[in-house]
Amino acid sequence: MGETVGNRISLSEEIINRAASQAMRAHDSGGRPFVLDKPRGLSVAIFAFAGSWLPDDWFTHPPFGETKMDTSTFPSLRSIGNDEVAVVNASFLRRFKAILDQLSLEKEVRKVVADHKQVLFTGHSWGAAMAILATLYFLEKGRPNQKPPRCITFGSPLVGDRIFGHAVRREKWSDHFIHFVMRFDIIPRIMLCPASIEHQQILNYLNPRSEFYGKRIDPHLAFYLKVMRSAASVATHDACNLMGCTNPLLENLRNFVDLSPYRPFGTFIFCTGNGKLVVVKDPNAALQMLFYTAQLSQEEAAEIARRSLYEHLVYDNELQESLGMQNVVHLDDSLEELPLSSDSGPAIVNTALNDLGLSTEARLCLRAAGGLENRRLRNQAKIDDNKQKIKDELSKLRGYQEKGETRELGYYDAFKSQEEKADFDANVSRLVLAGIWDEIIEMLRRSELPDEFENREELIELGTLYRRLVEPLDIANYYRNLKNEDTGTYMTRGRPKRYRYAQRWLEHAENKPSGWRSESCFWAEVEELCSIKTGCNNGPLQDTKKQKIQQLQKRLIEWINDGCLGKDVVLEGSTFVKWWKTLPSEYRSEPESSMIAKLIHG
Amino acid sequence: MNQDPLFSCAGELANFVVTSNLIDYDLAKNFEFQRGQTELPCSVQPMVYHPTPNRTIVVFIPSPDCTEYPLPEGGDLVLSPEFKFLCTKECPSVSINRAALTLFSSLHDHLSGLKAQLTEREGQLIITGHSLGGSVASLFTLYLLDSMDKKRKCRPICITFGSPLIGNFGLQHSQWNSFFLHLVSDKDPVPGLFLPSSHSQTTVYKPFGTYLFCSELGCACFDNPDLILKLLTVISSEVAGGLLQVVDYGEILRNLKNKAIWKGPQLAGGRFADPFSAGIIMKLETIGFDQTKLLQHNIDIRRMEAEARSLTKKTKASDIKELNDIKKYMALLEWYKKKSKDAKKGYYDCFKSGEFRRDIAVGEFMGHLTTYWEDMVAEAQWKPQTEGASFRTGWLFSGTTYRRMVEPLDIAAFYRDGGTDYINNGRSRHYKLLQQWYEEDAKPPSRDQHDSRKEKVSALLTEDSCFWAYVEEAILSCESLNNANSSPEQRQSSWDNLVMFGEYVMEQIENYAVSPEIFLEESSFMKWWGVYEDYIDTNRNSYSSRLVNFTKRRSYKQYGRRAI
Repeated sequence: MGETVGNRISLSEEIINRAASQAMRAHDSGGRPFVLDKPRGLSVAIFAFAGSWLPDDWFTHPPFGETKMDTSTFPSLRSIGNDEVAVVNASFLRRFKAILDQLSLEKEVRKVVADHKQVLFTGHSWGAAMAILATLYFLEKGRPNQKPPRCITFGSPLVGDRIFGHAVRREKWSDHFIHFVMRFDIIPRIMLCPASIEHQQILNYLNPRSEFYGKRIDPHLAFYLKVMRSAASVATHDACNLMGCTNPLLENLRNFVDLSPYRPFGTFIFCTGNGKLVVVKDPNAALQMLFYTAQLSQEEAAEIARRSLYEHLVYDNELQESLGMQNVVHLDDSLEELPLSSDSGPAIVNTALNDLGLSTEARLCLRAAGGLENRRLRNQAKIDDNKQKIKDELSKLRGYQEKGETRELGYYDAFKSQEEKADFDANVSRLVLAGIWDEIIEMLRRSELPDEFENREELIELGTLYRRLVEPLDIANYYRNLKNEDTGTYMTRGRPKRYRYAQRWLEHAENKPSGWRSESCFWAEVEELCSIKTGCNNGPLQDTKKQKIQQLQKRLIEWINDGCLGKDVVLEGSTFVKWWKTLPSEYRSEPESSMIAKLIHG
Repeated sequence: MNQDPLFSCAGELANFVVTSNLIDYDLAKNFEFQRGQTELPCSVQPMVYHPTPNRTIVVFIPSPDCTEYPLPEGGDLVLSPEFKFLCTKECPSVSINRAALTLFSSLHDHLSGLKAQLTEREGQLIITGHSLGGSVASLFTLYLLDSMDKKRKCRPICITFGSPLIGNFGLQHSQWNSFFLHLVSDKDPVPGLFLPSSHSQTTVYKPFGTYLFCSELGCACFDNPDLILKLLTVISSEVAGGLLQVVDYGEILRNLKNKAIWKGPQLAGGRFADPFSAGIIMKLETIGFDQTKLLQHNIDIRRMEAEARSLTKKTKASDIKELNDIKKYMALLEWYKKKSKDAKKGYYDCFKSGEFRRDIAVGEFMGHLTTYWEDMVAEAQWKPQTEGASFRTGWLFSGTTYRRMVEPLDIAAFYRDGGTDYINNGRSRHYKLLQQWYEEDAKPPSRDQHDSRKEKVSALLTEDSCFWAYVEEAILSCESLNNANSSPEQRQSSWDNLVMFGEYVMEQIENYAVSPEIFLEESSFMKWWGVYEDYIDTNRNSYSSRLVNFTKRRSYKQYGRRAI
């Protein structure tokens, strides 16, 4: 130990304290959405967002008030291969966009950046949600040479779902977010519970302008039980998955139970209330902590319910004290080895766990969270071990492709004919590779790989090589077996997920829209165009065909010039060339036509 | 090897169930009506509710007589043809508890109307009941599952409270297992009512679904049938001594809902070897089974751990890898077949003579394929019939290709090693089942298909995977005819066999159901033809059949070439 919080998250205690007091003070911003503070002697500019206690600003609709993320403003907040868009609280998103529309935020941030100061967004309670979205917004817009913005929140409600957090970790932005949570504070848990009368009671209690401000809620435990019961549902559900539950009942129950979509992300720092700080980055562990640290105990139920409201309002004082004591425990390093009983293991860890009231059951859940992350890393290592095998098979197929050129046929057509031993061998290589990649895709679909997996350059590169070289063989196989006759076109019905995923990886890395990198589907396009009969007098069909053919010619030249499509497609004997030569002149446009002719004749 | 740590989620799953909103509403209904209708004799009444537009609840309400004296004399099992669809390899005939079946049958007309109504409706469906009401709820759910569209998105869930076991069948290998949840209180002797009081006596009753055991202290979910049987037996024998009183599951649930958010114990001492045993020992203790009791009733944590581990071994991702491996072996066999065709022999005869190194490698591919398909077939057999059938249709196409490609090689090996009568002495069970299922699913070919078959026959596999076994038998028949020592009876039966074989082959040819490869110069079929032709020419030159005409005219040279 001996490491301070400040070191670990590379922000000084002074800045954290300053942020905490700014965040609390921003509540009285006089109607401005945020206040800007440039403390003298510190290298940061603190943007603290104001709060809101209006129920409409927390939930737009029951039960959970969520909506799909706006991907034009937040393009990264989605999964890549699985292609699911993150879910975010609709009220938070709507209000944040309203702040953006006022333009002052962007203007001020630009000024601070020009001053070479670190941008720090902060907020307490509802303001914390704004700070999170602001940070993401500027991370999305960030340029490589700029210092990325940071975000510190106090008593923040949960903002987004599992995919939201996954995307943030994949982009390696997770470390930019620090969330301080008091042990019993109800607000960080409130989003786990469906919108209800109890929500309103809680917000009214906290709202200085409400007539119920600070007044005892009756019945005094009901609101707390309600939130905790929902939190328990979410936590136990996720714990079952962490523990590798094999009972299929769990999946069936999901059809009957409305579970909150919201999940934690970023670095959580729990304040025990007696000066200790416990740091957790693992999002699954953080969720379990949110539930288990706030469990009731017989003696002090009423006291706990009271504290769950009161603690939401004391972050500045509590932090000043805790940061001064520097009693910090980092759980992530030892999640999988956490002591199960209250008196074993390293004393410092155990005292912290005891201070947070973590039962043996809770500790098992935390261990399971750590176990999952380690299992993901092992899965990744296994895939890395297969890399050489992938490369070997690819180099065999590369040889096959080159040999195809000497046959004046191109490997696409050679493979389609399946006449020589080499064609059969290529088919075996295709199947070996399909096995390896399909296994990877299945792991991604089941979230069995680290979040950063799809953002690894080496993987994207290998996936692209694979896709460009081998997908033509899958297309050839599809049309050889005339599967299009009974199932539909390759693109709609036959394209394996492994190629869709690999294409999405590259598109995401290059910041291109979905569908941009479809060069490996060239042959499918050709096969489909071949199958539309020319010359028949169906006007509209001919028109679209004409358009498609002209576009294909354009892209073909681009792709060949880029080197992402092999020259084998323009060999004399290939399906493409044979077909292209039969095209009536009105389908060809210049200059593409003569360029293609030139390519064909070498 | 770094083994993944194992956990028991017995407690987490149970707490998820009780904290969810799933069993608040229907439970209240469940008991209101039970108390309201005191005039009924021992019977069960179904009631249907729609608490929300998207949710339907069917409650089977037992009359008080039923709950207080749940027919201990009705504990025997009766054979039930009505539930025959639950048959599996493990349980070839289904028997149901007499009391439950009687109640179910008495409602039969009403329930078939209800079934029709419910299968129409979309949305969530919960079927529930207390005591014998729950038994009828279980039977009704099974009855419904049998006829329900497999693609229906939201499946039903059946929740019983303190219900006795109902039958001798298990659902461990079926997806249907996930539709049943049974609550059992540690104070309730009814669920184990029909079980023998000691472990030494065996019972034919089998539990299915997930059991949620609960006590004042908490709850735990288990789905291991052996463990469930043991726990039920112990609970029943411990409580039976006292008064048989109705257990109030409403009160129990209210308590459990609170317990789930109350802090659990922080156990002291290093008595937990690993997370799995820590979790499970803690949970068993919660429901009243401490270490001494476990020992006394021979409940073995280690064995449970081994079983749990074997369940987690197989993942979806490794299934997909395996499927691709299987495709690879099929591709390798395809290549072998093509090589053999180029050698003018056909892959059947190449493999039979086993001259080349590649013939030996083929044996290895076959081994992988056979193991894989034997497993697939076994898995389908473990499922209840209806479910098994829909599980199969997905892969039956690949299974049929496999059978047509690989079974000839098994036949080749069988006759090479001197076997006779493959169909009765050598054929593996999985081939028989694959063929039987294929025939059950197959539709009669249309005219179009017949034409397209004509076009493609050279690329197809011989449809009857036993074709070569008949060829081999025909060869043996010829040998017997040419053998001077054969008796007249033997000659006659051999000749009959040959006549039949001739008809059979001709029919296959006319339907374009055999691969043209059988006509390759060195194939066993052509060798047979040579011997047969000699025999006819010398002994029966007046004999004529369609096959004789076809072959003598060398018409087969055109067979399979029309495509070009």
